[in-house]
Amino acid sequence: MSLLQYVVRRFLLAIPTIIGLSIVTFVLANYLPGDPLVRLLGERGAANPKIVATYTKRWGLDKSGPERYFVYMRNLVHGDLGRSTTTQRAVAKDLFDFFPATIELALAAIVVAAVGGVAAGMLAARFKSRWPDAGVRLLALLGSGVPVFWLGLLALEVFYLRLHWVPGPEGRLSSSTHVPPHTTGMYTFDALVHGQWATLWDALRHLILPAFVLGAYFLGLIARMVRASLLEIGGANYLVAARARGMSERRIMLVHALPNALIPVITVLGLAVGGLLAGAVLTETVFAWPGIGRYAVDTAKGLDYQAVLGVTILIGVIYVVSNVIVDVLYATLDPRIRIGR
Amino acid sequence: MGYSGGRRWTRALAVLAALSIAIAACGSDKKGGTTGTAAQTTTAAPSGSSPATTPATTPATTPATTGAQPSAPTGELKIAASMADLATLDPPRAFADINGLLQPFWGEPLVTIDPADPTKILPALAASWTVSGDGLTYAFKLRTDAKFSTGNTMTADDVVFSFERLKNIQGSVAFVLDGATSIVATDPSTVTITLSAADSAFLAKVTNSALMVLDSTELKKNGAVSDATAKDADKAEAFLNTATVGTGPYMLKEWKRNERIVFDANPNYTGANKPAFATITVQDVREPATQAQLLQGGSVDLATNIDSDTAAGLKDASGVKVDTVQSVNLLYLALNNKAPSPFADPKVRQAIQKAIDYDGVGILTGATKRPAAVIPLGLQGIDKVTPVATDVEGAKKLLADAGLAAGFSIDVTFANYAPYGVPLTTLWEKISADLAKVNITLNLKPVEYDAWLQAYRAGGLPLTSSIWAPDFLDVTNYLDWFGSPESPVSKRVGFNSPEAGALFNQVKATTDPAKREDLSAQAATIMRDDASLIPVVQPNSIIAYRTTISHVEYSPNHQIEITAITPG
Repeated sequence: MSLLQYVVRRFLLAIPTIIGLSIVTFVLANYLPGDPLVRLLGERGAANPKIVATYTKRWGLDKSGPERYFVYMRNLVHGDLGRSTTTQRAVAKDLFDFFPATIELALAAIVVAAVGGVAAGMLAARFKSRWPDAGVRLLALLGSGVPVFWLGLLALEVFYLRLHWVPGPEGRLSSSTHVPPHTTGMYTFDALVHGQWATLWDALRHLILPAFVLGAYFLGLIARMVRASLLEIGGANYLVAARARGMSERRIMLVHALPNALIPVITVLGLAVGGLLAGAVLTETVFAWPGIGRYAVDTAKGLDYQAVLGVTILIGVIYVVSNVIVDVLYATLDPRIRIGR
Repeated sequence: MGYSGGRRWTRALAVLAALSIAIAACGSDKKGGTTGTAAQTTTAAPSGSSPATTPATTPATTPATTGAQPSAPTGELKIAASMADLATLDPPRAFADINGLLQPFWGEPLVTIDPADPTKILPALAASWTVSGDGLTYAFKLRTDAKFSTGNTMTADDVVFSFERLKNIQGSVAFVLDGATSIVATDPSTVTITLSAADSAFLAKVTNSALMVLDSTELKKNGAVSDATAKDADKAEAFLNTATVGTGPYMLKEWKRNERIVFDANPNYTGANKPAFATITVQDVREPATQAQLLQGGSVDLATNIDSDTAAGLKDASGVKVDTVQSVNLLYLALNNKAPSPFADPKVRQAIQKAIDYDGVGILTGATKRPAAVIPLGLQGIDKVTPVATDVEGAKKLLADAGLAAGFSIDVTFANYAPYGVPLTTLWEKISADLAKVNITLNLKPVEYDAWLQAYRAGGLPLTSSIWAPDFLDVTNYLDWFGSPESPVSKRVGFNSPEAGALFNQVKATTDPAKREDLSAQAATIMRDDASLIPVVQPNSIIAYRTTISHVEYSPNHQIEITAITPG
């Protein structure tokens, strides 16, 4: 099977996954106890039959469950994700507004986790069983063991309140900084392309701590994996051969050992996409980060099924796509994995 | 073999790049199809203009300030508030606590309450008013100098348009005008409202900040409709989310959903409550612990959602002040007396009422006061009625009289959350321990909020707890909701007192304050002795702020009176 066929097949297989996801979410959102109208109107409004009738009609709640599902899916095919009862506007608009903040945070966290994790793992492997190794292992344990919520508050206590290195958990920008013109919705990127250096600096300052907190778990995981696989392949024949040819240790590490040690890390990064989006819910709460994690919590609380479906499908699509990318990368890196060969 | 690793990586990067380009292409295709308008606005906006905050239809937002002002507003007030419920800035479409906090920034009602005594009505946009002898007609004489932030002068037509629109959009706040059969501008500065039945709480209802007067000229230009078709035909919400057109001391500058909302001083403001700050920024911060950190670090001046646990951590913070004020909210127990419940016998309900250790509950919740019935302290008549005191022996005697000396066991299904910072699980564990002393065993069943609310609304829970925050500050809100046989909650728990119902109707028809107090006290006494609904605590409200600001005061209807805050 060619690589292209493989990719196409993986994407086609993703379609039933997404449909299944939408059905499960729809059923959960609609048949759990609770009345979205009460959430929307409060007890006072929900006790007034006239207001209830107006709202039931306005939000399409007079239709049966299956009917609403089919209407939803038909609209979805046309790119219409419905309307949120929580924000009282189009779900697509909400996702368009809130998702860039989460992508920005997750990307920064991935960079932190990948760069920091690989560096720490290399350091630990290089100084195996000496103090840098112990230090890295301890940090890795803390990073992957401490709950995000607590880590966030702790990090703020140290780096904001005591050291004053970073701004407080006030969101993505200081109140005095204007939002940069919208290109991607990611403030660091938008400030960069529009040459607004002060805004870029402010956005980076606000981004760094939540990115570390969110990326800490995967940083720890990657550090341990890189360390383990570097040590495992340390005695491999091709390294012995390289050494015999008189190559420097640095060159052996960077050119021969590291690329092979990084293959399992790819899998971790694939998993990280899902993990980061889940962790984003808590990180966004602690850091007042206006992303999709917080939107998911708000709308779920409001039994706002169209918004919850929108978030689920978006995250589902991203998860599936990132998994496909990982599989393809894997197949490229290690031809043994490619099916049919 | 040595270089194969390197080559594989190059290939992997190439594939990754190709994939990302493909995905990006798909993404932009989709964007073109579904969110074309958004993309167009971005590209069409002239370079350098601030994005999407002020559409072309916005009225002049920066009118030239004419003449020197006595004390020009300066500086910025920064607030941390949870704005999860802020769905819209269009007053008729919103009825959440956060709207009560923010609406006074840009809008003023005809009349307002005295924060120190919520039963007292004070003039606002109406300089004075008269009520006809039969209590059916209210004539409001408007201030003639009031101006909107747009620069237009407010007239009676604006009041009529704003009120009609609120009534006809039929949002959850429309109930305040339910009884109004006609709203007419009798002259440019007089509005006359006629009710279908006398309602002595009508003025209290009109104090609701959603009944602000908006600039009808601007509204009409932007799709607003006020007649009976408004619930479908009104299209002004999008406009009102980008521009506030009220008479209040501040006006909207920018609203980034989930992020922050920024207000500037209104240069056209003519009222008594002049803006003290050039800008007010409210950051959307949900977590009390995060709000406390921002306050401690000096990033905000005021935190609005501090709970008692977090407040304890702020006690020693320098430059921070924490005020604890009695709120007008209530936490109550609901005993379902519909047979075959043991609560069908009033003696059993009264025994529960006597068996609870209220002082202990007070220590647990940090609030020591409680009213005798489900009417918060401070409202008409309730302060005169003495709450039932803890009396374990008396409770045992009542149970013996009811033939239940050996006690019984009953399920308690309650919502597993912490309203007003009081975790209900902790509260019920305490009550469970108290009732064990009189041989009553409670089987505690904490459930999710929505599941609980559905069961409670259906009237199916034998024993539970609930809360109430006032819709408007008048005793009739409580008699209407808990007191009369027609009340939604009375029906749920089976409280059926025609006497209390009759008293409710009399209070509604009486405008004389002394008489209202007396009638309310009688109704509250009946409710107390019935003991189907037992208030256990009137919780505190916590306000935490930096000492760089002053005049930070609790407001029974706006949470905190932010427009009264001054620097220094």
